[in-house]
Amino acid sequence: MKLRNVEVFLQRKYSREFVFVDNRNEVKPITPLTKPLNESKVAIITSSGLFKKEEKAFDTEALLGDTTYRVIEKSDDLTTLNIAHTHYDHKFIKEDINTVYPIKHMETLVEEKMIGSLADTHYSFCGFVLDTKNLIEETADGILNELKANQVDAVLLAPV
Amino acid sequence: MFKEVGELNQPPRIVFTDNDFGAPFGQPHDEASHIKLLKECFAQF
Repeated sequence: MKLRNVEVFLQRKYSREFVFVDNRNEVKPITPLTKPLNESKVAIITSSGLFKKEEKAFDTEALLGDTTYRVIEKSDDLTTLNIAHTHYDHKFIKEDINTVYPIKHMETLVEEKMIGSLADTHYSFCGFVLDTKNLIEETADGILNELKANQVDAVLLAPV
Repeated sequence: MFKEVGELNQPPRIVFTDNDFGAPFGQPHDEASHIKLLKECFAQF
């Protein structure tokens, strides 16, 4: 796939301002863990558009994407979650949510003592966001503030 | 997510896979593969 061709397509269809974020010449912001992984609290961030059925669905019609996010509690019944995302085939996630949101297997890693614990709250947003400014300032910063408040040490960002 | 986007974005820790688009952790009910990939992810730390 030639990203430049995709970029031109997206510029013509959605926004002439759109460009893919290119960090190839930037310094990678690697943040080391402050404690061993097997003592760390871990959360999942998924871009799969999962949301609780009693909540407002993500706006899949928004031209530049929906930069809001939803919280998924560890205790939530996964069979009650809905999906609002029109840019991937839902056949896999409908058959097994762990193909996209592997919370059950994360519990296995806790039992195996590879990671310390799972956070009580995890996060979902709807991928295909062309509004990268608000993706950073609203979505990412909003989730980051919640992660800090919940004393989460590391996240698994699970893109679809 | 397309591999090319990850190569351009250069997140500090990333694992690339050949899994189907829409199933980043692998095929439904393939628990062994899901867990193996998760372990690869956390080995990045």
